Amino acid sequence: MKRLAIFVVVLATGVTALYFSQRRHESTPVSSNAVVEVAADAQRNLSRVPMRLTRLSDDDEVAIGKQLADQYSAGTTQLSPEELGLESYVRRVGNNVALHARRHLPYSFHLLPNRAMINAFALPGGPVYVGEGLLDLMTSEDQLAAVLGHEGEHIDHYHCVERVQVEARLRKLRLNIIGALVQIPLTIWEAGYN
Amino acid sequence: MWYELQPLSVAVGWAVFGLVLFEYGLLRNTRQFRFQAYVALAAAFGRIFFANLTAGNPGEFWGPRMYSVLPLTLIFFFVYAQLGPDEASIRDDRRLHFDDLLGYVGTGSIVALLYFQFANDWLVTAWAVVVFVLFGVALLLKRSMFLHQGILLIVGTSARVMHNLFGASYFSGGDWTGGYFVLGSAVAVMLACLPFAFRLRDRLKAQAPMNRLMGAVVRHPEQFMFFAPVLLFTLMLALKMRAGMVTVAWGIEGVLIMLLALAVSERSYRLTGLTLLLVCVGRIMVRDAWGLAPRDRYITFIILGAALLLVSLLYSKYRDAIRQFL
Repeated sequence: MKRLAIFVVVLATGVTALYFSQRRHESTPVSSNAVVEVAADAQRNLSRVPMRLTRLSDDDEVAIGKQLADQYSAGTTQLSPEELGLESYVRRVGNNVALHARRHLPYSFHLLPNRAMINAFALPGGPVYVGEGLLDLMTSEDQLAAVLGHEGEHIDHYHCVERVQVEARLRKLRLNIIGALVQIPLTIWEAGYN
Repeated sequence: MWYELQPLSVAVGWAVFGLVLFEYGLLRNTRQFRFQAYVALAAAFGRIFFANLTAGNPGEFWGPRMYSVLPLTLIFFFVYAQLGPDEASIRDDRRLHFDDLLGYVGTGSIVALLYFQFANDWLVTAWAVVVFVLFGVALLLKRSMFLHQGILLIVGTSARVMHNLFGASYFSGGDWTGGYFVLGSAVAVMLACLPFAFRLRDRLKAQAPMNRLMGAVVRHPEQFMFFAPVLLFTLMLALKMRAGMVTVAWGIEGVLIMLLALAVSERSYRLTGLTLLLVCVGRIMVRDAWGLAPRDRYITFIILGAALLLVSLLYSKYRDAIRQFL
């Protein structure tokens, strides 16, 4: 009898939950987001200790960032007067945003003169690039500030340098081919993030 | 159900259907219905990862996530409770470990719910509370599966602490709450499991030995419940405290561990306390005596000196008791 009573209570709870779930007006998206979130979170947590142990100094990070930025500058065509004006605007908004950064790094903001480039990215140590295509879609300064702030946070939270710091450490150890082999699983591990 | 119900209701619908099938199978003593019920319940568990756990709005406590997952947990544990060892009619179900499946799925749904319900930093405390409950239930119901789950979750909680120690945002990790209170509360809850762990160890001693590795792990829950929080607490002090105060904090921790070791007469605890104090002495000689600011150095020398004196006094006072568990 007691068991039957408990069964009725459990069944009633289930049916009530079913009723409220059915009555909910907001639609619930069906996706694998929860699984992806758990997997990505686990991946990030697992990489925290090695990332902390191989952390580069700010000076090293800035030097690596400068090296990478030079590669971008070499590939960039001469800016037109209009693009120069745009870059100066991006720089002004970016510098205001960078005042609120926690790490004291030489933040710099650049325009990538490519209308097909609807994206922005950051490099270790401070350089931030925004595509001209993305600027074309913007309708206010706040939107630009949001994008530049987002990229600045990547630098502030070490996201950019974490992509290269293990490789830099391995290079310092002069492991040559062994270092390159160790790098392969790490590259695969971090694939899919930008 | 897949097509007719709302996405949020599908898992609940399957679970209710599984519950009814199970009861019918139990009533008619028909194995096939019960097996189908287990499939429906397992599918409901899988389904929550695709619709229910991410439902609702951020920051909402009582929302669709809670009211659609908690009843499922209740159903899982109700069915698990029906598969008790005294029931002869469901021997096949137990032989195929459907009881374990339901038990793990029930706890898994709670763990997953907490993962999505709580803020990132507080998750460790929430999971530590679940470990506490699991140990209590293992003791109360005399079912070792809950102990196994507790041990697994303590490993998961310890791994998750890496997020708090190394990966937490500086927006939450810098202040007193993020720095000490969150992890401190998780460590306190883990240590609160120790009385349960000792009683479970005593009970397991009387049971037949299982396989060697698993046996060694499961038969000493008190070691898990001591070393996991102590390791996390020591790491927390090393990473979150001001550099000049780390040795002092470790010294005080070492004394507290020694006191705990004397209270519960546990050799491994005592050795841990002694090791920590020795590490402090080594750290003073190698680093603190030369590298600390004068004020920090004085504080470190005075407190560590007092700690070592206290430990030596305790040793001489409780010499006989210590000899017994040497």
